Amino acid sequence: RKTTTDPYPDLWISHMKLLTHNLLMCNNKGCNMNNYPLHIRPVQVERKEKQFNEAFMRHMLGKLEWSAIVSASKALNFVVPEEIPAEQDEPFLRTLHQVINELDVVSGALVCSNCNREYPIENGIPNMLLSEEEV
Amino acid sequence: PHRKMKEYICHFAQSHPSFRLPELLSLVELYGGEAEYDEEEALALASKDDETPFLRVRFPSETLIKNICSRSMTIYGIYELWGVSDTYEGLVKQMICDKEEEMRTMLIGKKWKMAVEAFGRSYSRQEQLDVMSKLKDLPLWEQGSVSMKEYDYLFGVLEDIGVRKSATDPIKRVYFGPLISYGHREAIYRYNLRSRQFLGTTSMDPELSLIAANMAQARPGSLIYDPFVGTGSFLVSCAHFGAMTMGADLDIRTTQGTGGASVLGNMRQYEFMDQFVDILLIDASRPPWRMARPFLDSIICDPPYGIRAGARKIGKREKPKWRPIPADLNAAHFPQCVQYDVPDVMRDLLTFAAKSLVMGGRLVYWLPTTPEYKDSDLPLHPCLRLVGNSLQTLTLRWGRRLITMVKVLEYDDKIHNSLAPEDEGQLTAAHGSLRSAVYWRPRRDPTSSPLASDTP
Repeated sequence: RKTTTDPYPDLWISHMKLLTHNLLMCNNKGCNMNNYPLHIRPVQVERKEKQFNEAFMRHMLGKLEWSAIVSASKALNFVVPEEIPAEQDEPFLRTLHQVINELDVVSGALVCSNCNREYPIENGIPNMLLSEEEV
Repeated sequence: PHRKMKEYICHFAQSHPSFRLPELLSLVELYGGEAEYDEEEALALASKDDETPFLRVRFPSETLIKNICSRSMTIYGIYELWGVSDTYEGLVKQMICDKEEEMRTMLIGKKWKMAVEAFGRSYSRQEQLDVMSKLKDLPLWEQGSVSMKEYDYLFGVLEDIGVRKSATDPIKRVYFGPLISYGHREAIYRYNLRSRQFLGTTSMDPELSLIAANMAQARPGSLIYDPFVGTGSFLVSCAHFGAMTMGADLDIRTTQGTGGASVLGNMRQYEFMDQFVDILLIDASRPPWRMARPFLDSIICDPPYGIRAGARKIGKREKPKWRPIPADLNAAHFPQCVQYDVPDVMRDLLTFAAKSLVMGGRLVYWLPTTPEYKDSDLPLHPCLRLVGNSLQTLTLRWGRRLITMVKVLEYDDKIHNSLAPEDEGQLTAAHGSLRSAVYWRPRRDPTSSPLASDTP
């Protein structure tokens, strides 16, 4: 429940990063196929500069599902290579950094392509809780 | 080929004896090094009767020692061991015999000082000088120049007097040698809880939070997750060591806080925003993470035990007057919760760790224990190996153990989907009914030690 007069509105604003989105799937009761990746329906998105850490980007690259990076970027009107290039040089890693760290989804929803279940993103916090009916 | 190992003396801080050796070994492993020590001395080091804060350890290099000390919360300092004896006369004799050459050559043209540290008591300046005068026969004094402020070498005179002794008791043992490095205990004061913007009933004391981050091997480039993030103490301590951090919780009130402060506020206060990935609302019994590829370097958490902070998960209660939620109110509906039994919390946590950790990744968590604790209470998993089990005593009736497990086997759904009871551990665990264990006091002999059953 958001307060009406907030003296520090900036402090509330968290964000959902595409790094996190890449790791999330739908776990609705009975939803076992085509439940990843979740489709992003953005309402408020911000670009926030963050410190680039090359070692972390290299380390993270091996854990990411690239096709989900491509579709998520498209949902936020950002362009990335369709495939991971053979040589992952610094410019590529900087692009990756922009995509997974600096695009902040403040509000919107994550939608499952299989069961259409919607997970709201409010104040940058994805609500992945199922209702008591769905467990 | 066995690298040449030299002997050093580690001087540990007085607090949390059972945490000392596990933290040291975790850091040795983190820096790809090795360490040798005597098992019996290690047992004395971990003893909760606080027998000694010293441990002799053989290390292969000074670089390893400096790396360890750059992160350690339990170490005061590590010195090269030049001499050890039960008496000062013996110490002088030993060093004149073994270290004559070093003492005559090392300090030529250098500045140095001596510092007396005593375990079991503190010394005034004059008393320190009296101690140093017992070493007046060392050729050390003929070389270089003594300087209190700026110095190239610091020699430690480390007295082990033992517990509950008076000033007139003879020393148990004294160690001597040049300091290699002090530890990193200054970090503890940086995260003092009094200046924390957002506190909750479960905020972790910074010393233990940082030790836990060392057990988790938080480091630049690593991705670390707390599934019961609460006020974010572990995110702060892992970010301190350069890790990227994520957290989740069931309750929006702990993630967002009240009055504008939040987990975010804590990260902002300590300038860790670049290391904050995300906070999510997640029911730990139903994790929404894709597990096709392991993605976490460490998991670090303080799960709810159901004593004070209440363990809950989403579920329908047995309530006759339940009505379905109208579709347009679904988003605002906070789901109904049921009790989340502690053994289930632990079982789900270990399964999640087995699936989501990379090989060599670590799970670090607090396990509540009572005086009835036995090792078979420990949750187990075939994919995880236990490397740390340190007890913190909280009250006479309960304490908690910092458990560290390393992933050593890749999760295989065909094999690990259903485990036999002996593979899962937690056999008739004392933590299965914590509330009654903590609040119900059985008749017992008041003079018997309540936590006598613990072993490090």
